[in-house]
Amino acid sequence: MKIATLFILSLFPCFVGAQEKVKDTLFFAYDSNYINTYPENPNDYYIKDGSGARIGGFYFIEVQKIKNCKTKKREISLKEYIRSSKFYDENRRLKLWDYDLSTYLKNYVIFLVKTENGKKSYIQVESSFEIE
Amino acid sequence: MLMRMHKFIKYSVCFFIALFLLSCSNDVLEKNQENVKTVTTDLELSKFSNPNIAQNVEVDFENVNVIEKDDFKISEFLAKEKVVNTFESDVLQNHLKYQGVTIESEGKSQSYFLEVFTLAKSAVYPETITNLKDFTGGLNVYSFDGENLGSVVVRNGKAANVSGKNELDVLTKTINLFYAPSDITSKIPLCKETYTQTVWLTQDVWRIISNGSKILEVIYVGEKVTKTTNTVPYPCESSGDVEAIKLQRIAQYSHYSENGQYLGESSSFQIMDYLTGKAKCLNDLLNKNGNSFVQNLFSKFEGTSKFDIAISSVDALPKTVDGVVTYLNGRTLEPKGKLIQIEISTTEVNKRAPLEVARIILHEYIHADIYRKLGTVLAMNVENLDFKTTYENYEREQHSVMAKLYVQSMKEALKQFHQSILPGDIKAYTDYYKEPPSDAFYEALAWGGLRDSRVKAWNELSDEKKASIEALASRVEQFSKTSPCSN
Repeated sequence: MKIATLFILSLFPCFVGAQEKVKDTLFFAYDSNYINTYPENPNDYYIKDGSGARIGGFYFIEVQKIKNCKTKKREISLKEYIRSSKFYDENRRLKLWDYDLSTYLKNYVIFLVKTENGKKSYIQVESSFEIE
Repeated sequence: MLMRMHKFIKYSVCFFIALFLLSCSNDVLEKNQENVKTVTTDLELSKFSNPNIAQNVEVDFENVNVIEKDDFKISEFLAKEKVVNTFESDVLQNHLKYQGVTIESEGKSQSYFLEVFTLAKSAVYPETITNLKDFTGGLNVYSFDGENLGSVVVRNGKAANVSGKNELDVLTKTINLFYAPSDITSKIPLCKETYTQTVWLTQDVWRIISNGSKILEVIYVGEKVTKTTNTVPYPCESSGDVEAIKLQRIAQYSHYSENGQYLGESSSFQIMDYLTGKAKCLNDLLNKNGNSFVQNLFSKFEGTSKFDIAISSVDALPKTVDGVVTYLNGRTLEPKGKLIQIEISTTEVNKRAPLEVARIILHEYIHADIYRKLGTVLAMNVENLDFKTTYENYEREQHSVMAKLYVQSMKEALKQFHQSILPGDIKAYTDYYKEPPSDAFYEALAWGGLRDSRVKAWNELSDEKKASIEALASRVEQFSKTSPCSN
């Protein structure tokens, strides 16, 4: 029973009330050299590889901030995750397929994990795409 | 002896009373057990992936409420959280409700476990799906073995299968059995062959932020009022049964297939218009004057398309690019469920000539059409094949697709709109340039928003062509910026 409980907890490291079906969770380390926020769009998180709204750009929208999240999952690098994905090609004219990346990431529950003074805080986000 | 007898009688009476009471309660219990057996056969809360349901919800099998209506038998039982969770929301009431339902119809039985989100302004969930006239909210629906079947949204008693899952049709149809909008049914007109009925429908529109089928947040976007005038046959030859007449009326506003399957709140495409000021004026002129390009574009959303469009005005759309804040004219967001949202910047629109504003609106409608195509299994025809090939050849870049496939028809649309709606512009242009606006001028205008060095189709043009387009397109700046609508 103990094993089963621990297993369930590892599947749902952060309880979200309206969880409907099992989705894998991705924890990305918040790298301020790769993730940008701007005062005019405070709830949006842009990535350095995004193509931008004028051409069609990927970004994250904040869902909620979570202070206490009991997970032992390690964060991974968002930059490495994107650049090693099939949506990114260094040699292509438009390096990132922003729309496809956004569609793909909708299959996951995503957290950006900020570490400040050894303390972690979690921002739940969802992928999005906008075009002018 | 007498004492002993008295004691015996006393005990006997008590025994029979107890037996009688027990037999009564057994009768009740048997009935309940029968219903319980029907509704709970397969309910396995421990299998639910939602940890709150799996670990924190208990079911009250003792009180099963059974209601029969038409050919439907609805058995309901309540469930509640052992430890009541609350959450903070400006939009939703802060408690979740749970309920089990089994619906039997035409020899088949379908069971649902409901997680109920109630809108803040709604009445509290009445703990039954048969009396939801004052309820507005969302139902997260699970099968009894924990599979999430999707969501049903209820607005003042009317249910819509927003997930479009077949498994939810029975639930949606059952809820709608009890839906009777008062404005349609309360007045039974005098008996004559037909009568004209004007119906004002007010719809609340919410932006549902979701991860897949998981509803994370429901944001109230606004209210959409539509007026429909119908000539309706009055059922004089029918039985005269008021209930039958009501059902007939309701059927006109619900959408059922020929075999009775509920098809959802509305099978037709909707444009929800929240534009204001000049943008609203020009969008209305584009739509109401039957611009053939717009009609053709929207016709593709009809029928099997699963998308609606919400277009709204926002003050401004600032974006930081390379450390500099720039402002977008408009933007189209990728579909959230069924809805494609378009935002038009009021600040930018007010700086521009009406013809340019029409171009901006058309440009965003085309993005919506591209999203529709990307999110739909397209039939194999020349147009769709063309789209798929172009989308791949131009590296999945929407503006190149627009340049290759839409610029020519947009040119015609702008020309038609300009000449029919803005004759003052035509005269001013002709007086100034000593020639009427040419096709090349409208084509140049259609390239607006596409003249970017990162747009492959733009880069493919010769330098001479690019210069010509730039020069002609700049002529639009000469036009008056005044809105053609008086208010």
